[in-house]
Amino acid sequence: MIRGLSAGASARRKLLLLRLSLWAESAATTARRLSRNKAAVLGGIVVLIIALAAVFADDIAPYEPDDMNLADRFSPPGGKYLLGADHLGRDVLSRLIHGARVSILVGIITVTISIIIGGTLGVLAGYYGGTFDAVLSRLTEVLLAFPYLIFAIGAMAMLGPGFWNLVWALCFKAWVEFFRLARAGVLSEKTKEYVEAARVLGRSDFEIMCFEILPNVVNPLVVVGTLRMGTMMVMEASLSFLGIGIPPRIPTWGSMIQDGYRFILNAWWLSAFPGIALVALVLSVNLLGEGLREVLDPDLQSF
Amino acid sequence: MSLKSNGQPRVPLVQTVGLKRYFHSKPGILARALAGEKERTVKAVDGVDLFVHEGETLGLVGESGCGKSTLGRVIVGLYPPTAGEVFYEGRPGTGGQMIFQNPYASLNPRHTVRQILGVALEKRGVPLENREEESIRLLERVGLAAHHLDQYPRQFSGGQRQRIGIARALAMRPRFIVADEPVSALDVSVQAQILNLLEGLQEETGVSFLLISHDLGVVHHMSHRVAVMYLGRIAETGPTESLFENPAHPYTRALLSAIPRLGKTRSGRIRLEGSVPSAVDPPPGCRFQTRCRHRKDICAAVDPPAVELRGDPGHVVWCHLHT
Amino acid sequence: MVRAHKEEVLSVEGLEVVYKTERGPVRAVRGVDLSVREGEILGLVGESGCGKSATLLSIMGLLPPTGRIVAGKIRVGGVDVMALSKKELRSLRGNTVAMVFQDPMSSLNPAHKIGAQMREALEVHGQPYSKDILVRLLQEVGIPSPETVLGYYPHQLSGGMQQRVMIAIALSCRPRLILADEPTTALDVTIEAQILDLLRQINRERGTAIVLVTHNLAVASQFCDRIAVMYAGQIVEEGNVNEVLSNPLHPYTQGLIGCIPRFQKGVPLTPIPGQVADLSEDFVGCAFYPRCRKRDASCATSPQELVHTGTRRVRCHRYGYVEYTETVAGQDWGNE
Repeated sequence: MIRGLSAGASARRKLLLLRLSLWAESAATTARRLSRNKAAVLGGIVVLIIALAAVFADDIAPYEPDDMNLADRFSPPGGKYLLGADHLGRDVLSRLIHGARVSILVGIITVTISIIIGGTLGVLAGYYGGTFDAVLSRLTEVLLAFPYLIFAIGAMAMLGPGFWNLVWALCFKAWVEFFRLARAGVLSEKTKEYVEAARVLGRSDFEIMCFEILPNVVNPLVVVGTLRMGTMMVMEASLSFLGIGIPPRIPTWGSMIQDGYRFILNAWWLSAFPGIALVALVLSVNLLGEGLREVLDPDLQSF
Repeated sequence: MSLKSNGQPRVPLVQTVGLKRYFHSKPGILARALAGEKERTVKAVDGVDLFVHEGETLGLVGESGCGKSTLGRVIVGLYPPTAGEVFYEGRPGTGGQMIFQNPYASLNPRHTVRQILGVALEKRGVPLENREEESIRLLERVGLAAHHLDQYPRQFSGGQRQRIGIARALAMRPRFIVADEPVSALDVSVQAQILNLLEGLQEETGVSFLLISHDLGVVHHMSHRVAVMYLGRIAETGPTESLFENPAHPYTRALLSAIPRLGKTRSGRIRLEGSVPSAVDPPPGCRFQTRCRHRKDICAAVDPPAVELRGDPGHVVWCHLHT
Repeated sequence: MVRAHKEEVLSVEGLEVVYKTERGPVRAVRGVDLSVREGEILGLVGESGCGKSATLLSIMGLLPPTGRIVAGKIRVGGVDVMALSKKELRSLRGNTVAMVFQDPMSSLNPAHKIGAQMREALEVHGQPYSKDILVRLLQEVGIPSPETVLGYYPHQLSGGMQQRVMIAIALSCRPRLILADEPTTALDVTIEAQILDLLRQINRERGTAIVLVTHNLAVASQFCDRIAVMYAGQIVEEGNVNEVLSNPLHPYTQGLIGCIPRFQKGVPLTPIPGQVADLSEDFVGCAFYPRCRKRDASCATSPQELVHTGTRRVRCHRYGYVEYTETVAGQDWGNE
């Protein structure tokens, strides 16, 4: 009995190791093919640098982001402040590094939540069809009819500023795209013979959805998810620029652009550097997403 | 072969009684309101009685859209029947395994051979530690080897994939397998390999096959008995030799005379006019009456009864010409 | 022989085609010679990837951008196809040669009515296209109530009827040569027989030469006058269809015949072992060598030439030594 158990456990461990090695192998193949795409590599490097800066912001930022030094108000770039100081004498570079946190977190969190919600509902709707599918599909059509920014402004106006409020406001519509992608994928996969084969073997609906169909529809979700991170970052910046996103005491690129905007003629560096950073990050994320798409899903033509 | 000498009535391994399977298509509200589309019912299988004995191959032939694939899928339980019943091993209920037509779609592209066979073995209750050994045994039985275990389907040729599909079905140790066009997607030289493999498996394990195929040569070669299907119904069934030598239904005759045979010039061919009517609105009475040269008034009025040919046990035809 | 008086409609000499793929170049056609005369039906038979379709597409100048003719000469009706401009090629396609494809549904535009599509095809080829002409064309290919069919969309026709429409379009400019690429593979047997009868009737009545590409030896045996069996981009055997099938000289032809169920109980199938040759690989000797039951030590190394023997051609250096009786010779081939 005990021998049987331990044999089972060792076999299970072997299987797990094998699965891990297969997974690592496929990840390595993806990475290798991705590395051939120069634009994607460049994008990846920029994203990585900004992400590392955000993670180690406390260590690498030369000043505290909200240290005010009124004597140094509007110091131009160079000298004591590499990228200059703002109207309250705060270091622009330090605020930029700390602001990266918000941008990246908003991008990652909203997209992850949206993929989980949209993907799950999409797989269920595509697999089961019927009333559940009909109701959800109509709902997504209604949501799609609103312009995104207007929708988010309305939601934020109701919820009030705050990091999580912003995340929810963005997710409220972002999941729709993943829902439709997952649903369409399942609709085309579920009629294939390998699904019938699994059913003849006696696999349950849950097993078929999770282990047979999902692996075949997840790639487009990842690709589009990467691309949408950029959109989310721009949305966050737009809302913060309008003053209804992240509360003013937390530095974000959007609110920095807004603050500097009033002084654009006298101190261009206040708005220009966060603007450049935002463009660089969003562009890099998109380059990475495009590269991923070519590697993972050559059939996926345009989104 | 012993089947034919055995005249004792037996309980068939698989049997269908008055089996029907309809598909309803419901157009959306907009299509109904704007385009005037109506709800349609496709009568894919419309009252089929057939049986398969232990160790036997029943060949099911018919042209595309005649319902033969649907029939096979109802028998293994992929679709519930609309009416009628399937008996498996003498009890009501479906059963058996299935081999599919398309070797490229029937294996999950994201699963290795180990995973594909592992699922089947798990469902049969083989403990985890024995699965590898059992998988290798299955692979070797179908002409593959242990080093194929961790490869993905895309790394195999069509014939090899079909072997994997067969191994997956065998993993369940079924007594009955529905083989839906198992070789039609393969090259001729590979077809023969797979057909011989299936024959060998039957000799070894006594498994029964329902062999669905549009290729009459394949069906003739593999089957003990043959059933000819037309527009959702069986037109004629009988022992292979007797059905091919002495076809009784006008449709069977036309079908047999249309097959291109190697080296035989086409003579006395019966030309079928027109094409198969829609299964949405099949003709009343005999399904074949709209294209039949021997059509009588009764054919459109009354469903033809099953008639067993005199002096030819087991050879049954559904045709008014023989009543 | 009568054949000597008939004009050569198609001649292919030393054709070589290479496809560019991700895995490197694939030599799909490796030196094919063909000749088709007026009124003749030639079958090009082989399994997937043997180069039969690539040969046909080369003749039509329809190779995909990844494919390229690297050597050889193609003459259609005496005209060197490879020297033609795109425009001249298009006019040749419309007037001397016509093509019928496997899947009529993908050749017809689903959004246009049959009449409009036929009119357009005729207009492009500079043919008159009055309604009467269209009706007559459809009648010729055996389509019932042609006036009604002109107003149909493709999906309202069955696969067999769609293929008839394609043949009607092909016939519209009275071609001297029809190239048919698996024209009946997507159809049911009873419909297949109808379409083959139609093509044969066109051949007999008008003397149109036909090249039929097919994987189905049985179809070729009933339809063709002459067949060329292809393997790995080469013709391995060619000759009169009855001679080739009743006394196949090449081990591959023998093997193919042994793979086909013969409607005789108790005749076992003798499959060819292994897989079809990979065209991305090069071979010095015989491409069929790894699967051949009659190989000897020199097969892998000595290049195989296509040897003429009377009316036949065969590419096997063991020809003359091989015992044909083993597999198929001596069987009743009917035909009497």
